[in-house]
Amino acid sequence: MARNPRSGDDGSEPEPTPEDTIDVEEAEPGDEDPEAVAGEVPSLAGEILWHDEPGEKIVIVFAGGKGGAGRSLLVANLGVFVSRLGREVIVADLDPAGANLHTYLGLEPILPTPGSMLRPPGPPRVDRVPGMSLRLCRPPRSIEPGDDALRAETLTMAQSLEADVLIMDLGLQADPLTLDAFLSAHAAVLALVPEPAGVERAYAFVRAALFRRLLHGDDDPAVVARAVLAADHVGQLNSPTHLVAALSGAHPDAAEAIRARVLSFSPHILVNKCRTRADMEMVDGMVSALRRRWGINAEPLAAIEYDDAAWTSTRQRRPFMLEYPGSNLAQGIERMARRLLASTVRRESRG
Amino acid sequence: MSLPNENDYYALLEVDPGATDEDIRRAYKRQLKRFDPAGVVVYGLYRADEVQSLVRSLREAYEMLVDPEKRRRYDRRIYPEGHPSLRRADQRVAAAPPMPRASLPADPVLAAGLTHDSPLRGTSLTKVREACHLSLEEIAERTKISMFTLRCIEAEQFQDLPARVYMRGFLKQIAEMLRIDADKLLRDYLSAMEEWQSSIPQRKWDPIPKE
Repeated sequence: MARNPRSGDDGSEPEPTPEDTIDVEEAEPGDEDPEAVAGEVPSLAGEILWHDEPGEKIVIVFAGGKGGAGRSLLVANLGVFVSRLGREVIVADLDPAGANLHTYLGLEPILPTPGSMLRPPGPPRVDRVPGMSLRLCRPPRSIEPGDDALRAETLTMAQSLEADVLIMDLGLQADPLTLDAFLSAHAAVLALVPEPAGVERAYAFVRAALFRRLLHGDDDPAVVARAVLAADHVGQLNSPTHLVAALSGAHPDAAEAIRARVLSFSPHILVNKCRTRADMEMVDGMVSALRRRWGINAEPLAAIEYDDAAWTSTRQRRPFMLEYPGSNLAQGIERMARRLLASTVRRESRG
Repeated sequence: MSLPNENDYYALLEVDPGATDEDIRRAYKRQLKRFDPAGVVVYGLYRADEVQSLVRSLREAYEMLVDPEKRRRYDRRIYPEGHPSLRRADQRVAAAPPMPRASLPADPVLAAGLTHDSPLRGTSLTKVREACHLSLEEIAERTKISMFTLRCIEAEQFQDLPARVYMRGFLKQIAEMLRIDADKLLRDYLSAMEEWQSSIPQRKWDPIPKE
């Protein structure tokens, strides 16, 4: 399927045209210690579909759930994986609760001094991970709760950097800035752990994102839908299906618009740290439950097994994908990465 | 694509309209497990009464679709012009139950080449069933006895059969379908089963044979 075979028989250098696929052998391994990468090559076998829109960055975001769902680890290692494919990657840390992508990438933390706390923060920091086509964009100091300006600035910086892929850890809160970033991404992932509190938080986040998508703004459908909901004093309209039905009589256009918004909202569901078969089956269960309850088409992204190696690699402050490429977790992350990248292609071809 | 329809039994169970009985049974089990009111998947998404009403709808859908007669009526009602993937199901359901009634012999036992005195056991059941032009699949579909159990009954694989109390029910249903004497079938078959059972404990408790 590669349109650009690099035969080299005619002696001419091939043009660096965009490719539909990436041939893994061609992925630049970077110029670091070759032994560190040697073990990783087999796990990159096979072709990956690539969304190639010249000048457009693919934006993938991770959000919601609960602390400890493994969001940072997944984001950092997805970044490592994609950069291994020879693409320029930005990972951005927008998690106010626990900004620590640097730990998973082996970068230094930014240590505040008493003096730096008194001065206004400088611009967001961008650091390259040594030997990789991967940069980390992070706020110049940890984000205090409610400091939306610093988050917004970091977000803008991350979006403005030139790269093929931008991967963001949005944190777990459901504020407007997070929800808008979640709703506008090419692929939005909700990572959670298979326990009641994690599941409940995940649903709460999806609910907030869905409501914002349906009801926020000054456009006609949102205004009409808000008015209809405000008039529903008994709470009869407890799902988008009912809202669409209620609108369809007097406001068919608004009903159609709301219906289209529901159907095109498809967050990816990822259950991390699975220990049992029932945990693994939760992804499909949640997708089915979300479809029944709110009519949305969530994507079952992945069920990733619990792995003790993750714990060890975090302590060594080395990217997991490089330390344990053959582990279940690394393979789970790789499957997740392939599906995510493929989904951005599908989305594009749907128009 | 459309928003889910709460009244579509196939959509409720998440099965294709051409699904077999086995598909439906499996889907129902899977959904019951998934929407267990005490389970984690519904937590934070449904109120307790909403899950219970969902489970009731699932049961309603299952009971409707697992009964061939009810299912055929339901299919005609929701897809009057015929669903594309339904044609297979229509042929399957239409081909199975109505036929045997007409072609059932007056005396299935004689038609099978047996006498009324010959014991009704595994092999004689096979003969009677064949004389009635019924397949095991047809019996399984009507009686809801699994194919495995039906095969074991005819092959007299007693070790794979359920307890006596269940066997009584199964044998009665089979007798009814083949229009043979249920009491005689119960007597003959269960005594054969007992005979086999009484041979088991002795073997089981045999001391280690001495050389």
